[in-house]
Amino acid sequence: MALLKWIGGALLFFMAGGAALANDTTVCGKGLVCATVPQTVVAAIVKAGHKAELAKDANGAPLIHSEANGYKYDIYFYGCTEGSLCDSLQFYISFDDVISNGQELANLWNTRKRFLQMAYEDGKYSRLSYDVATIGGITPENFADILAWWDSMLGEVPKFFEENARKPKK
Amino acid sequence: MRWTYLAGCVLAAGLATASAGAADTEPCAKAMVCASSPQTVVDALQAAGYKGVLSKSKSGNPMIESAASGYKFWIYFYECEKGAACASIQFNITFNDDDGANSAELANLWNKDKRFSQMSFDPSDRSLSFSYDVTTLGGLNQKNFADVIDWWATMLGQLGRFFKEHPAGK
Repeated sequence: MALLKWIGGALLFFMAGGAALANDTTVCGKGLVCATVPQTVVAAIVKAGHKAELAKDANGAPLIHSEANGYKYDIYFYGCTEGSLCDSLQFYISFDDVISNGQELANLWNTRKRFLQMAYEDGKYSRLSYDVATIGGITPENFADILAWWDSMLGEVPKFFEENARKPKK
Repeated sequence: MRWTYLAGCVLAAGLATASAGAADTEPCAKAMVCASSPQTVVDALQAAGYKGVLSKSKSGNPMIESAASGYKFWIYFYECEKGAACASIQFNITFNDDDGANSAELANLWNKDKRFSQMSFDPSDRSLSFSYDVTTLGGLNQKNFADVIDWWATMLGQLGRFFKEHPAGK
Protein backbone atom coordinates (compact mmCIF):
# COMPACT_ATOMS: atom_id res chain seq x y z
CA MET A 1 0.00 0.00 0.00
CA ALA A 2 1.89 2.94 -1.33
CA LEU A 3 0.52 5.53 1.02
CA LEU A 4 1.77 3.91 4.15
CA LYS A 5 4.76 5.45 5.70
CA TRP A 6 6.64 4.84 8.85
CA ILE A 7 7.44 7.46 11.38
CA GLY A 8 10.85 7.26 12.98
CA GLY A 9 10.55 5.83 16.40
CA ALA A 10 11.03 8.93 18.46
CA LEU A 11 7.42 9.13 19.50
CA LEU A 12 7.20 6.14 21.70
CA PHE A 13 8.72 6.32 25.09
CA PHE A 14 5.90 6.94 27.54
CA MET A 15 4.56 3.61 26.76
CA ALA A 16 6.42 1.39 29.12
CA GLY A 17 3.85 1.11 31.87
CA GLY A 18 5.08 -2.35 32.66
CA ALA A 19 6.55 -3.39 35.89
CA ALA A 20 7.95 -6.80 35.44
CA LEU A 21 10.44 -4.05 34.66
CA ALA A 22 13.68 -4.91 36.29
CA ASN A 23 17.20 -4.64 35.04
CA ASP A 24 18.56 -7.91 33.75
CA THR A 25 21.76 -8.28 35.74
CA THR A 26 22.47 -11.86 34.68
CA VAL A 27 25.11 -12.84 32.15
CA CYS A 28 23.69 -13.61 28.73
CA GLY A 29 24.14 -17.37 28.24
CA LYS A 30 26.28 -18.57 25.37
CA GLY A 31 24.39 -18.68 22.10
CA LEU A 32 21.33 -16.91 23.55
CA VAL A 33 19.70 -13.64 22.46
CA CYS A 34 19.47 -11.05 25.24
CA ALA A 35 18.55 -7.37 25.38
CA THR A 36 21.50 -6.98 27.73
CA VAL A 37 23.80 -7.68 24.79
CA PRO A 38 22.33 -5.76 21.84
CA GLN A 39 24.81 -7.36 19.47
CA THR A 40 23.13 -10.74 20.05
CA VAL A 41 19.87 -9.21 18.78
CA VAL A 42 21.61 -7.65 15.78
CA ALA A 43 23.32 -10.94 14.93
CA ALA A 44 20.05 -12.89 15.17
CA ILE A 45 18.30 -10.43 12.85
CA VAL A 46 21.12 -10.52 10.33
CA LYS A 47 21.13 -14.32 10.48
CA ALA A 48 17.45 -14.22 9.53
CA GLY A 49 18.43 -12.31 6.41
CA HIS A 50 17.42 -8.81 7.46
CA LYS A 51 19.52 -5.76 7.92
CA ALA A 52 20.05 -4.44 11.44
CA GLU A 53 21.62 -1.12 12.26
CA LEU A 54 22.44 -0.57 15.93
CA ALA A 55 21.96 2.96 17.22
CA LYS A 56 20.91 4.73 20.41
CA ASP A 57 17.58 6.32 21.26
CA ALA A 58 17.10 9.74 22.85
CA ASN A 59 17.52 8.21 26.32
CA GLY A 60 20.77 6.52 25.44
CA ALA A 61 19.24 3.06 25.30
CA PRO A 62 20.10 0.78 22.38
CA LEU A 63 17.87 0.94 19.31
CA ILE A 64 17.95 -1.18 16.17
CA HIS A 65 16.71 -0.03 12.76
CA SER A 66 15.60 -2.86 10.51
CA GLU A 67 13.30 -3.64 7.63
CA ALA A 68 10.83 -6.37 6.67
CA ASN A 69 8.14 -6.74 4.02
CA GLY A 70 9.07 -3.36 2.60
CA TYR A 71 8.53 -1.64 5.95
CA LYS A 72 11.22 0.03 7.98
CA TYR A 73 10.79 -0.66 11.66
CA ASP A 74 12.62 -0.21 14.95
CA ILE A 75 13.42 -2.40 17.92
CA TYR A 76 13.48 -0.52 21.22
CA PHE A 77 15.22 -1.75 24.35
CA TYR A 78 13.41 -1.37 27.66
CA GLY A 79 14.15 -1.74 31.34
CA CYS A 80 17.67 -0.39 30.85
CA THR A 81 19.77 1.58 33.27
CA GLU A 82 22.04 4.10 31.62
CA GLY A 83 21.64 2.28 28.33
CA SER A 84 22.50 -1.19 29.55
CA LEU A 85 21.11 -4.17 31.51
CA CYS A 86 17.95 -3.94 29.38
CA ASP A 87 15.32 -6.57 30.14
CA SER A 88 13.01 -6.57 27.12
CA LEU A 89 12.52 -5.56 23.50
CA GLN A 90 9.75 -3.93 21.55
CA PHE A 91 9.35 -4.26 17.80
CA TYR A 92 7.68 -1.05 16.66
CA ILE A 93 6.34 0.58 13.51
CA SER A 94 3.93 3.45 12.94
CA PHE A 95 1.79 4.49 10.01
CA ASP A 96 0.95 8.12 9.49
CA ASP A 97 -1.47 7.69 6.60
CA VAL A 98 -4.80 9.09 7.78
CA ILE A 99 -6.70 6.59 5.66
CA SER A 100 -5.35 3.76 7.72
CA ASN A 101 -5.89 5.48 11.04
CA GLY A 102 -8.64 5.30 13.59
CA GLN A 103 -9.36 3.52 16.83
CA GLU A 104 -12.09 1.39 15.27
CA LEU A 105 -9.61 0.11 12.72
CA ALA A 106 -7.00 -0.55 15.41
CA ASN A 107 -9.63 -2.40 17.40
CA LEU A 108 -10.55 -4.52 14.41
CA TRP A 109 -6.90 -5.53 14.05
CA ASN A 110 -6.71 -6.42 17.74
CA THR A 111 -9.84 -8.57 17.56
CA ARG A 112 -8.49 -10.55 14.61
CA LYS A 113 -4.71 -10.72 14.90
CA ARG A 114 -2.32 -12.23 17.39
CA PHE A 115 1.11 -11.12 18.68
CA LEU A 116 1.06 -7.51 17.37
CA GLN A 117 -0.89 -4.89 19.25
CA MET A 118 -2.25 -1.95 17.24
CA ALA A 119 -2.99 1.42 18.81
CA TYR A 120 -4.19 4.73 17.42
CA GLU A 121 -2.80 8.03 18.62
CA ASP A 122 -5.58 10.57 18.17
CA GLY A 123 -5.21 12.57 15.02
CA LYS A 124 -1.70 11.37 14.46
CA TYR A 125 -0.86 7.82 13.53
CA SER A 126 -1.49 4.13 14.07
CA ARG A 127 1.23 1.92 15.37
CA LEU A 128 1.99 -1.76 15.77
CA SER A 129 4.13 -3.18 18.54
CA TYR A 130 5.30 -6.58 19.71
CA ASP A 131 6.90 -6.91 23.14
CA VAL A 132 9.37 -9.63 24.00
CA ALA A 133 10.76 -10.47 27.44
CA THR A 134 14.43 -11.46 27.31
CA ILE A 135 15.42 -12.06 30.93
CA GLY A 136 17.13 -15.46 30.98
CA GLY A 137 17.89 -15.21 27.28
CA ILE A 138 16.07 -16.49 24.20
CA THR A 139 17.23 -19.46 22.15
CA PRO A 140 18.17 -18.68 18.53
CA GLU A 141 15.35 -20.95 17.32
CA ASN A 142 12.79 -19.13 19.42
CA PHE A 143 14.09 -15.70 18.44
CA ALA A 144 13.94 -16.72 14.77
CA ASP A 145 10.27 -17.57 15.29
CA ILE A 146 9.66 -14.24 17.04
CA LEU A 147 11.09 -12.54 13.96
CA ALA A 148 9.00 -14.78 11.73
CA TRP A 149 5.84 -13.73 13.57
CA TRP A 150 6.74 -10.06 13.29
CA ASP A 151 7.52 -10.41 9.58
CA SER A 152 4.46 -12.49 8.92
CA MET A 153 2.06 -10.13 10.69
CA LEU A 154 3.66 -7.09 9.03
CA GLY A 155 2.99 -8.89 5.77
CA GLU A 156 -0.70 -8.91 6.64
CA VAL A 157 -0.83 -5.16 7.19
CA PRO A 158 -1.33 -4.02 3.55
CA LYS A 159 -4.20 -6.44 2.97
CA PHE A 160 -5.79 -5.52 6.30
CA PHE A 161 -5.69 -1.80 5.47
CA GLU A 162 -6.89 -2.40 1.92
CA GLU A 163 -9.88 -4.36 3.13
CA ASN A 164 -10.80 -2.37 6.20
CA ALA A 165 -9.53 1.19 6.08
CA ARG A 166 -12.01 3.81 5.10
CA LYS A 167 -11.70 4.85 1.52
CA PRO A 168 -11.18 8.48 0.54
CA LYS A 169 -14.36 10.24 -0.58
CA LYS A 170 -14.61 10.85 -4.30
CA MET B 1 -17.84 -1.50 38.58
CA ARG B 2 -18.06 -5.25 38.45
CA TRP B 3 -15.93 -7.21 36.04
CA THR B 4 -16.34 -10.86 35.54
CA TYR B 5 -14.51 -13.21 33.32
CA LEU B 6 -15.99 -15.39 30.69
CA ALA B 7 -14.94 -18.99 30.67
CA GLY B 8 -12.57 -19.56 27.89
CA CYS B 9 -14.68 -21.33 25.32
CA VAL B 10 -15.46 -18.15 23.43
CA LEU B 11 -12.17 -17.76 21.73
CA ALA B 12 -11.22 -20.80 19.75
CA ALA B 13 -11.35 -20.79 16.04
CA GLY B 14 -11.59 -17.44 14.37
CA LEU B 15 -8.71 -15.60 15.85
CA ALA B 16 -5.60 -17.24 14.59
CA THR B 17 -5.18 -16.07 11.01
CA ALA B 18 -1.47 -16.10 11.47
CA SER B 19 1.18 -17.62 9.49
CA ALA B 20 4.54 -17.90 11.14
CA GLY B 21 2.41 -20.67 12.50
CA ALA B 22 3.65 -24.12 11.74
CA ALA B 23 3.33 -26.88 14.31
CA ASP B 24 6.35 -27.58 16.52
CA THR B 25 7.31 -31.15 15.74
CA GLU B 26 10.71 -31.10 17.45
CA PRO B 27 11.00 -32.68 20.90
CA CYS B 28 10.96 -30.17 23.76
CA ALA B 29 14.54 -29.99 25.05
CA LYS B 30 15.23 -30.94 28.66
CA ALA B 31 14.19 -28.30 31.22
CA MET B 32 12.66 -26.06 28.54
CA VAL B 33 9.06 -24.84 28.36
CA CYS B 34 7.24 -25.70 25.12
CA ALA B 35 3.63 -25.59 24.00
CA SER B 36 4.34 -28.93 22.34
CA SER B 37 4.65 -30.34 25.84
CA PRO B 38 1.79 -28.74 27.80
CA GLN B 39 2.89 -30.22 31.10
CA THR B 40 6.08 -28.09 30.93
CA VAL B 41 3.84 -25.00 30.87
CA VAL B 42 1.82 -26.28 33.84
CA ASP B 43 4.99 -27.09 35.76
CA ALA B 44 6.50 -23.67 35.07
CA LEU B 45 3.31 -21.94 36.22
CA GLN B 46 3.34 -23.93 39.43
CA ALA B 47 7.05 -23.26 39.96
CA ALA B 48 6.22 -19.56 39.77
CA GLY B 49 3.57 -20.02 42.46
CA TYR B 50 0.45 -20.10 40.27
CA LYS B 51 -2.04 -22.87 39.76
CA GLY B 52 -2.22 -24.60 36.40
CA VAL B 53 -5.08 -26.93 35.55
CA LEU B 54 -4.66 -28.65 32.21
CA SER B 55 -7.71 -29.54 30.13
CA LYS B 56 -8.78 -29.46 26.49
CA SER B 57 -10.58 -26.79 24.50
CA LYS B 58 -13.59 -27.56 22.30
CA SER B 59 -11.25 -27.87 19.35
CA GLY B 60 -9.26 -30.55 21.19
CA ASN B 61 -6.22 -28.40 21.83
CA PRO B 62 -4.66 -28.17 25.28
CA MET B 63 -5.90 -25.38 27.54
CA ILE B 64 -4.75 -24.34 31.02
CA GLU B 65 -6.77 -22.56 33.67
CA SER B 66 -4.88 -20.40 36.11
CA ALA B 67 -5.22 -17.22 38.17
CA ALA B 68 -3.14 -14.17 39.03
CA SER B 69 -3.65 -10.68 40.44
CA GLY B 70 -7.25 -11.54 41.36
CA TYR B 71 -8.23 -12.71 37.89
CA LYS B 72 -8.88 -16.19 36.59
CA PHE B 73 -7.28 -16.58 33.16
CA TRP B 74 -6.70 -19.17 30.46
CA ILE B 75 -3.74 -20.21 28.39
CA TYR B 76 -4.74 -21.41 24.94
CA PHE B 77 -2.46 -23.46 22.69
CA TYR B 78 -2.10 -22.64 18.99
CA GLU B 79 -0.66 -24.07 15.77
CA CYS B 80 -1.40 -27.56 17.04
CA GLU B 81 -1.82 -30.64 14.91
CA LYS B 82 -4.59 -32.87 16.21
CA GLY B 83 -4.23 -31.34 19.66
CA ALA B 84 -0.45 -31.82 19.83
CA ALA B 85 2.81 -30.30 18.57
CA CYS B 86 1.50 -26.80 19.39
CA ALA B 87 3.92 -23.95 18.68
CA SER B 88 2.57 -20.99 20.65
CA ILE B 89 0.38 -20.04 23.57
CA GLN B 90 -1.94 -17.18 24.36
CA PHE B 91 -2.68 -15.90 27.85
CA ASN B 92 -6.28 -14.68 27.71
CA ILE B 93 -9.20 -13.28 29.67
CA THR B 94 -12.50 -12.27 28.11
CA PHE B 95 -14.71 -9.90 30.10
CA ASN B 96 -18.32 -10.17 29.03
CA ASP B 97 -19.91 -8.18 31.83
CA ASP B 98 -20.21 -4.77 30.25
CA ASP B 99 -21.24 -1.99 32.60
CA GLY B 100 -21.31 0.49 29.74
CA ALA B 101 -17.61 1.24 29.75
CA ASN B 102 -16.55 -1.40 27.24
CA SER B 103 -15.68 0.17 23.90
CA ALA B 104 -13.06 0.36 21.17
CA GLU B 105 -12.00 3.65 22.75
CA LEU B 106 -11.33 1.97 26.10
CA ALA B 107 -9.33 -0.79 24.42
CA ASN B 108 -7.34 1.79 22.50
CA LEU B 109 -6.54 3.68 25.70
CA TRP B 110 -4.99 0.50 27.05
CA ASN B 111 -3.15 -0.38 23.85
CA LYS B 112 -1.66 3.11 23.63
CA ASP B 113 -0.09 2.98 27.07
CA LYS B 114 0.66 -0.61 27.93
CA ARG B 115 3.07 -3.24 26.75
CA PHE B 116 2.87 -7.05 26.56
CA SER B 117 -0.92 -7.26 26.32
CA GLN B 118 -3.48 -6.56 23.66
CA MET B 119 -7.01 -5.42 24.50
CA SER B 120 -9.87 -5.59 22.01
CA PHE B 121 -13.59 -4.84 22.06
CA ASP B 122 -16.12 -7.02 20.29
CA PRO B 123 -19.10 -4.81 19.34
CA SER B 124 -21.29 -7.85 18.63
CA ASP B 125 -21.50 -8.85 22.31
CA ARG B 126 -19.73 -5.86 23.90
CA SER B 127 -17.09 -8.10 25.47
CA LEU B 128 -13.47 -7.13 26.06
CA SER B 129 -10.70 -9.56 25.28
CA PHE B 130 -7.28 -9.25 26.90
CA SER B 131 -4.39 -11.34 25.63
CA TYR B 132 -0.62 -11.92 25.42
CA ASP B 133 0.82 -14.17 22.71
CA VAL B 134 4.08 -16.04 23.14
CA THR B 135 5.75 -18.30 20.60
CA THR B 136 7.43 -21.30 22.17
CA LEU B 137 9.02 -22.80 19.06
CA GLY B 138 12.52 -23.91 20.07
CA GLY B 139 11.52 -23.74 23.73
CA LEU B 140 11.84 -21.08 26.43
CA ASN B 141 14.22 -21.62 29.33
CA GLN B 142 12.74 -21.60 32.84
CA LYS B 143 14.03 -18.14 33.67
CA ASN B 144 12.66 -16.57 30.52
CA PHE B 145 9.27 -18.24 30.92
CA ALA B 146 9.16 -17.07 34.55
CA ASP B 147 9.64 -13.54 33.20
CA VAL B 148 6.84 -14.09 30.67
CA ILE B 149 4.51 -15.12 33.51
CA ASP B 150 5.69 -12.14 35.54
CA TRP B 151 4.82 -9.75 32.69
CA TRP B 152 1.35 -11.25 32.35
CA ALA B 153 0.70 -11.09 36.12
CA THR B 154 2.02 -7.52 36.20
CA MET B 155 -0.22 -6.40 33.35
CA LEU B 156 -3.21 -8.12 35.01
CA GLY B 157 -2.41 -6.16 38.14
CA GLN B 158 -2.45 -2.95 36.13
CA LEU B 159 -5.72 -3.94 34.50
CA GLY B 160 -7.70 -3.66 37.73
CA ARG B 161 -6.39 -0.14 38.26
CA PHE B 162 -7.09 0.76 34.63
CA PHE B 163 -10.74 -0.32 34.91
CA LYS B 164 -11.19 1.74 38.09
CA GLU B 165 -9.68 4.76 36.38
CA HIS B 166 -11.99 4.41 33.38
CA PRO B 167 -15.49 3.68 34.68
CA ALA B 168 -18.63 3.91 32.60
CA GLY B 169 -19.77 7.39 31.68
CA LYS B 170 -16.36 9.02 31.99
